[in-house]
Amino acid sequence: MDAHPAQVFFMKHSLRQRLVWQCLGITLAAALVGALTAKPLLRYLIDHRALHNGPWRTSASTGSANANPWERAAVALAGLYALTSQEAVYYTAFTDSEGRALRGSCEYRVLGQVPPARWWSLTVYGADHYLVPNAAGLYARHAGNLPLRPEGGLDIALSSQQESPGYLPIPQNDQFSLTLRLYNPAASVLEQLSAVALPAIHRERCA
Amino acid sequence: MSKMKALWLFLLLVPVFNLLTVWMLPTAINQLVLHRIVQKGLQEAAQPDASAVVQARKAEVLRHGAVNIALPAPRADASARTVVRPSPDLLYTACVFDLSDGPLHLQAPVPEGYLSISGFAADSSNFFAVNDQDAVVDAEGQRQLSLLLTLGEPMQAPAGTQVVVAPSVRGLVLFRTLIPNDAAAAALRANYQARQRCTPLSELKA
Repeated sequence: MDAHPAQVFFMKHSLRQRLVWQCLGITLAAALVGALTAKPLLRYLIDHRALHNGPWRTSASTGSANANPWERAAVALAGLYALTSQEAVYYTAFTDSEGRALRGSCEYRVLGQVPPARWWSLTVYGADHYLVPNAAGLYARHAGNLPLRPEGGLDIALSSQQESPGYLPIPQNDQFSLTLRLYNPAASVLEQLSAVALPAIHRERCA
Repeated sequence: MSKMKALWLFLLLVPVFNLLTVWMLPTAINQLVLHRIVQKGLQEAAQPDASAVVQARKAEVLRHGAVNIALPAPRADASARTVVRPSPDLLYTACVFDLSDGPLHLQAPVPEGYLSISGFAADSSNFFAVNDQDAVVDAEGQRQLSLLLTLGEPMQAPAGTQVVVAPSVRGLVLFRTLIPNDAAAAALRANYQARQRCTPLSELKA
């Protein structure tokens, strides 16, 4: 009677060889699971370790050499070559002030104070983290192309349709995000990144 | 091996490989993007230009293989795909560095507005940043930033030049020049961005 293939395998391979194969299999499986869970883990950490300020989030240690491996990986994924906070603070929003995802099919109003800094800018990014094509070639509002209101605040309409004064184009339908950059922010900003007054993002209407 | 032992081994190894992946990820992404910047630099240098000055710069870029040389990028628009989340109100000049053949001299004339030079190591961490407020006035009365990027070998720097020690042989230097308004963009490109330099020290002495 012929032996079953499994029996042949066990006969041919000594106990030690089988142990090596088992260990190799377990190691490969662990490597696969370990690598595949890295990105969801980083996404979770980006969400939960970041400093929150209304709909905005930022990191106190973006780019700095003492950022830990997780923070470095998170920055490499979402903001490669970012500067340290003394040089520039980056506030990013993926949602409006009520926590709903920013969508091109809606219209928004960004309203409120800009913290003291040498320069500020507000830029729209598409879901792919790149600038969004638009007829006006307008990608950002900043200290040079939008005068602040007399009381020091800004008022920007985000819309894929309407071209009102001081508006900023967003994509037609896709999700998008905003980055508020503050170059050389005042020390008072650095001391309270999660408490300083920032503009609110109001959803006006949706198509 | 018993099933219990196998499970324990698996559970022990998953976090190890997870940490290893997280630890290697910035370096891997950085290498990929540095490669992309070099390829983009070579591509642009290969296109002929009407200006003899620009043409000479492009020949230099090709001779260096787009490494250890300033690569001024056009202002970011919707077609920019080299680095994520570019700022459209900055002019970026990249210099992919390799210090195995000696230090690099970094230089930038300083305009009225914000300008910074920053360095990123092989693992993508930011190891230095200076801005226009650190500028010194040179012999011709021009405000400028002047730096020597080294691996830590002892050296004498001329007055007004700051020595910066890089934590890795390869990495990236970024020059950021603020565009305060659209009208100023062309002059900033010609008078400031085009004059940003990233040059091997050996070539300056020669």
